[in-house]
Amino acid sequence: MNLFIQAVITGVLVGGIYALVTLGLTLIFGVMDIGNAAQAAFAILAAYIVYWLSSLYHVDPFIGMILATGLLFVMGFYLYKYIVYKTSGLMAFALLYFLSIFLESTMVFVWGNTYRGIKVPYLSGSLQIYGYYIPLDRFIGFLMVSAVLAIIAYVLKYTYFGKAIRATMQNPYAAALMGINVDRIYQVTFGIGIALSGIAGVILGTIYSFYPSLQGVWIGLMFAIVVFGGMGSLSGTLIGSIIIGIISSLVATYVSSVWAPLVAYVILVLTLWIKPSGIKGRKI
Amino acid sequence: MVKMNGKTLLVGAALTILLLMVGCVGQPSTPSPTQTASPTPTASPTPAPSLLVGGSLSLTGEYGRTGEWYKLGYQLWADQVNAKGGLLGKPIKLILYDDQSDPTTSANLYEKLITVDKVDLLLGPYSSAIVFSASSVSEKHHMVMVEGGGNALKVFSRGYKYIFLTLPGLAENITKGLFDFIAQLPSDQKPETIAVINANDLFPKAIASGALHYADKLGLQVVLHEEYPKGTTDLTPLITKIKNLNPDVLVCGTYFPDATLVVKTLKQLNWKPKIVFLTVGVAMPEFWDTLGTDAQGMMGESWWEATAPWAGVKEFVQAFKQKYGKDPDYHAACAYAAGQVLETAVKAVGSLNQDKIANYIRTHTIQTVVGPLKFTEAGYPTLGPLLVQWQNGERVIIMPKDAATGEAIYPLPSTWS
Repeated sequence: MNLFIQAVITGVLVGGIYALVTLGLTLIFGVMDIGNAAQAAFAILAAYIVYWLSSLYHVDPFIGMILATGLLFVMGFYLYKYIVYKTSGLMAFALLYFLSIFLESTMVFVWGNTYRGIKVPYLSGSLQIYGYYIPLDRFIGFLMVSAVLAIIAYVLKYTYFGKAIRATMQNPYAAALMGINVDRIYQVTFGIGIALSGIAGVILGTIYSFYPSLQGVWIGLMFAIVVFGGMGSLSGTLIGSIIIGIISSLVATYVSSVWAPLVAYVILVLTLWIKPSGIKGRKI
Repeated sequence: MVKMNGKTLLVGAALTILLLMVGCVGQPSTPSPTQTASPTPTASPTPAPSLLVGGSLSLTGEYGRTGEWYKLGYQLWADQVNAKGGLLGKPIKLILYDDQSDPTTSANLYEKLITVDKVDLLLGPYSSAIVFSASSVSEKHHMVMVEGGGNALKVFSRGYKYIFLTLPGLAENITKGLFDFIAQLPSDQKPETIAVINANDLFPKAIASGALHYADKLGLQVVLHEEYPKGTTDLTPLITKIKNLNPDVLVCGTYFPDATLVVKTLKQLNWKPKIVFLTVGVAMPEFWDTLGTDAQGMMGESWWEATAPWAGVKEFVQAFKQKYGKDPDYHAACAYAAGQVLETAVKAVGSLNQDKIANYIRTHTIQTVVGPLKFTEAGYPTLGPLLVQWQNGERVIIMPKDAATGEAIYPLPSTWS
């Protein structure tokens, strides 16, 4: 077994998880220019919903994920419709930041700061190919992010709704003049963005023990990825995540695990310095 | 104009949420210091009819939930002493203040307990930083403080003479049971190599340095010692490295999330050393809940087990359940043990002379629900925590031998079924 190749495999898979967690943030930012600071808090909320469905009612985590994702879509939709639409830019960010703290505190209050993990016994092993190990839980996460990206790409490109989103992204005023219900586009996009965090939260919860304040750890990394990938670019998010995943894994293997989490932030600083628009971003 | 109003409203809403949140996090009790006993006459020159035992605990704030366990332990102890006729013929009156999980507040409260309330005996607060600060006050007034909540080495490296710990051992001693276990193995079964990993945080670092010290004493070859960031979400590169080195023993200075992550990653890489030892996570029931049968054979330390065969444990567990309707945890047991230490010493000395009490505690082995405690000159017990191993959903005590409730699974099979 070659250590280098195993490290790259691990990095790609971890990058897939990073991308999955970040996609919703990217989508919301890309379409409506809102930095959703509560994205990670919703992911943890979804993980809790699935955890309790599975431990109290023995609902399979993947069925639970569908339920949680639906619920989060509804929450996101109405959150935008009744509250977030009033704000934009920094105000929206501040509002959602407060919301993330509120969600975290509520989760601590209701469920305590106990560590939980979603148990999926059939995902606890790994595939073995030519002596290399591919952990099943991360592999499923990777498939999931690929599927989600493919669906989003298809919808954006080939459906009326997707065209409406793209038109709104380019110029909301012109889109409105062409008869597109811009408010509805925003509501649905916000709902989808929050729902994506649900998928991510569940996958995260199967891999790692979670607790309410974990959201604060993830949101930083997510914003770093969004900046590096290019604000609002979905493919940039995937590429950026995988690059960060691979470099972190190589650093952990050949330098020290302690330095690995710094990779994302070093890259963030370098991006802002050298190419502030990120890998595939719009010009700033 | 309308838009401005909307924004103003939102700011107001955000502030309200923030205020609500602050209220939410803490316990619903009042934020000011609370007294569990009826108020003490603060300036009464006449000797109090009861024996005053005081302390501060984190009843709100960061450690609110844990502090509550200490309160329950202290109260059960006081009730039981009073039911038996009190201490030195007087009933015990507990004065427990809420330090809001803050070291400075705690120090101020101990100053108040000693100088204003004029308590006769002191019980300790919870968590090392708070004990560190509060004990500087008790030491200044030459008052004995028995505590079960702060076991950082820095608490006991100041040459203090009046502080004693009932949590069985310092962070550095956590792996003592493991290495005692290795030492008593027949020589043909002894492991030869060891890898030590730990999160880069104060407590796991202390565990690792303790493990390296013990490994060196036993002549085990350390093939790897590496730290990883606290809160890491992926340990595959590190465990892959360790798998390639193939050590006999893997010691991990972990918290709960990384403890479960180590086990999951070991399974994913389909490898197991002869011994896997993980700190903190293993003693929690959630460990088996999260990992299921993958937790089988995992070793860890436990500060206390309700199944430990020490004198008085059964009675303690029973009384606790009866009074509070739930099982005690190790915090409650250590709090109760702190009361037991004070009680034993005061009874033996026959007075409230703090020097005599301190001297008695330092020179005698005292039986408590956390085991027979014999204290070092610095004031912490020499016992060390229990070594436990998960076997079929139960934590089995392996070490020390006289507390063992079963045989160890050793060596672990090198692959996962």
